[in-house]
Amino acid sequence: MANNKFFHGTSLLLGDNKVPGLQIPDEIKKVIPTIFKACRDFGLDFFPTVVQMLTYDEISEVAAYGGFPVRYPHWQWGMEYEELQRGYEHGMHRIYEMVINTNPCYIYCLDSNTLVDNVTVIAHALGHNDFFKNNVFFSPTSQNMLNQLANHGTRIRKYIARWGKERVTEFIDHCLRIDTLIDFSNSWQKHTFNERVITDSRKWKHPKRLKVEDGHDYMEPHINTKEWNDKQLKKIEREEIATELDIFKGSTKDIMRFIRDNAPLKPWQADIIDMLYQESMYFAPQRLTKMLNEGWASFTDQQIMCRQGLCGLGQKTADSGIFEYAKHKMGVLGGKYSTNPYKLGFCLFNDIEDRWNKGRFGTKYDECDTLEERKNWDENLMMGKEKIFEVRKHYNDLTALNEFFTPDFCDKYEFFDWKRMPNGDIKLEDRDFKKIKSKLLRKYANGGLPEIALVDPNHRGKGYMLLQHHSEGQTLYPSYVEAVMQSLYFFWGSEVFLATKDKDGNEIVYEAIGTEDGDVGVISRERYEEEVKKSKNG
Amino acid sequence: MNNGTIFRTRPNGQRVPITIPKMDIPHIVHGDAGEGVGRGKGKPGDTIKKGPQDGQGNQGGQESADGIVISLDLEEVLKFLQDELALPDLKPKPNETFEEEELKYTSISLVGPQSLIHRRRTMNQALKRHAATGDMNKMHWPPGFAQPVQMITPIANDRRYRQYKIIKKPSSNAVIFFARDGSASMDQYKCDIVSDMCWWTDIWIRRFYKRVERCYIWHDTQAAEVDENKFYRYRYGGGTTCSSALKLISKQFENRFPPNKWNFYVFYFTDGENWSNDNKVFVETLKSQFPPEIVNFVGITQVMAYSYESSLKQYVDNELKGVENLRTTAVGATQSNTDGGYGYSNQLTEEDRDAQIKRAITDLLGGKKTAKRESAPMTTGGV
Repeated sequence: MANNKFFHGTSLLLGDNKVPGLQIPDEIKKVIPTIFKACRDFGLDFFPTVVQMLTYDEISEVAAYGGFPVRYPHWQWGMEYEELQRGYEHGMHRIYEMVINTNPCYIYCLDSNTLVDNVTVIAHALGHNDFFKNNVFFSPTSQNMLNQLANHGTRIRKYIARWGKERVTEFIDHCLRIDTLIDFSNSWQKHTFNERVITDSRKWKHPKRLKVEDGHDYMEPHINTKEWNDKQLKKIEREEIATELDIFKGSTKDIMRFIRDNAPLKPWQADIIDMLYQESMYFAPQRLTKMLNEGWASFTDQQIMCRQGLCGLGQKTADSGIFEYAKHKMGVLGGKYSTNPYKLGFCLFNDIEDRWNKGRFGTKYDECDTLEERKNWDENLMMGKEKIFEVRKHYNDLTALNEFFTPDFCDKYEFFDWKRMPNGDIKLEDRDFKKIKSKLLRKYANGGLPEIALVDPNHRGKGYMLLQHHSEGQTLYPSYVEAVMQSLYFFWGSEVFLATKDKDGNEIVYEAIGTEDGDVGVISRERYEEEVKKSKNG
Repeated sequence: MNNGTIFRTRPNGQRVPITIPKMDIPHIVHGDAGEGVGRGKGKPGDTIKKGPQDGQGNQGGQESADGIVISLDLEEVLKFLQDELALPDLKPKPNETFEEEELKYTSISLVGPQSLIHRRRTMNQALKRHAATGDMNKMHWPPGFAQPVQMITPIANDRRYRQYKIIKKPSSNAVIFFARDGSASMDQYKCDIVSDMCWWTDIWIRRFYKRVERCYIWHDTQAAEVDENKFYRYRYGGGTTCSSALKLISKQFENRFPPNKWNFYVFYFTDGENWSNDNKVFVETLKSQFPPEIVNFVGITQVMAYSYESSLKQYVDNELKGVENLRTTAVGATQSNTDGGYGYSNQLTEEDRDAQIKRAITDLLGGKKTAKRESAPMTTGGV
């Protein structure tokens, strides 16, 4: 057992030469097949799964590495570990489980959990596992990431040996600052890396054709019409000319990628930024689907524990674990006034199931305006289960909220809109559905990050970089912006500008002229334009 | 270490907890808009959560991250200090009573225990003997070997052993006087600062200068020698006569520690609230009884003085400019912050307090590089 305990017996965690992980206790070993079977019966379809039992110390290490203890050496993991460990020692929080998106999927359980907790945790983690496998936003991610990250670690260790620890770590620090400036939708594109190899051969691109079934060739001109073909050809031609002339193809949110391909970097630097870009892309879907993912896992463990009655697993009587389970659930979903993603997702799935069971959807239901009738609406369709599986497959946080956050849902779960008064008190403003929904959507748009696009890499014709923040009423956190701007300057080697709006809606421009503290200034947009004019004339 | 809070803690064991502020990796994130969505019961206009009582909102977006507490070995902390601090060197005194003895294995002898055998020398001797007798190239065929081999075998006469020599090291004696003001004006807050400073200076000296006597003196209008425990625990009493402490110390020179045998280091802590007549006496005593020939070092620390102009430190600084064995420093708020009135110490922020204590210790004990900072301006403000 000890041999294939943790990543097949290699002691990957540094500092201790013993193989991490504990023998799984018999009482849990016995119930694991039952849990797996219950999950399959519920309809989950998950990757092969390895359950690991770790002590808190080990789970802190693993969690500090984001679930992948093989990653490159960097101080941030140590800091994270220290924080988790102290928090645990002082009883402020504990990690119940960790699960990672790989094939086979690893579930890390905590040895100090009770049996009920561990059964819950395994069911919960299988919910995540199922989500990783089936949700469409996870489909472009690599299932072999454990090895890929280990390779990244090896490469970065090599660079450290070659170029020195401080130099490489400093570069990684700069990379980590810009690793949220990516375009999530680009994870669908095939990974390419501009290696700048000079060749004289030309890669021919062809318009994509839809496949015509065998024996139905006569359909060809109808399916792939000539107009469509021509349109695509023209587009390709335009793209090729742009590539040849090295013209900027238009504003992009994928700033990290742009820097990787175009900034003046040394080969090792380009390699490191490429690796970190890939890692960032790998973790991006988790940011986009956090609420739904957690909701789905919570929903799953509730299904398994309560509706299928596994809370009595390994206990004296069939219902003896229910109180403990309820307490655990309360800790995760509870909290006064909280809208944490676990709770929101869980409620959303419950609501969807209920609505589709009772047929409360469609034009007929929407047009019904008798309160009594709406309240007792029950067509007994029982489509709920089908629908929730569809939701977990095709939606992310934003689209799910957009579609399923209805006025009924808002009323039922008593959502409200708050505002902080100047004296620091938080006051309940109102219960206006439109306002609440728009706020929620804004919170989950773009993974909760500000939308920043690179508008012009050759600003003012001087090779300056111009970024634009689409603020929509939200401001940026100023001191962090300054730090990130310094990093951008570090990569770009030339001045960087970021146009945004301040609290009162005035347009302002951040300007980075160096990598030191104090090299980033803020001026109003008007003054900036005046200065540009001046420098043009002068 | 500037940001840590080490001086607040005086560990009894060997580990020192140190708070390090958590470093975030900055990303471009949204600022705090001061609004959001919640869930629960309530009418519009209800207060959901009380703000902080001082009327300041949570400005600037994110709350400042809590620190991480790590614990370091006391040894490690002292090592940090070692880089920056150094006591003035000991002076050779004519009648040295202590002689440090040290054993050093520098010699070779023909006899000795097997454990101290010097293998290289032994083999060397064996080789020499073989060369002299001319059987270097003689082949031996020991049992178990496939073919004959050359062998060099040391015999008893070849053996050489390491042997120690006793090296006598001249070493001077040193005595360190800690003296503190215990007058009524020294309130709890000042006393704590003094205690912290004393403790850290003390532990540091004990670490690097092994053979020292320590002498603790506490005074209000009269001075008395106390033991270490009392020195740290005594709180405030009556009036102030700073010179009494110096007089008591100088009395010790005559009786217990004759200056021709001992090196003296004096650390004196006060809040500077001296009787104005006594300042003169204080300086006179310093001049006559504590000249550089007798006393290696006098460090005067003034804690949280609010009437800075007429304080002891100012007076001493003016009168005794450029005396080589004297250093003065101050812990506390800047002058501009001291207008608050009497009877009230401007409290420093926690971080500032530590920074100030550290700066003060460095001022007193700073190495040769920092020696020029003797008259370091009191830069960091109080509140």
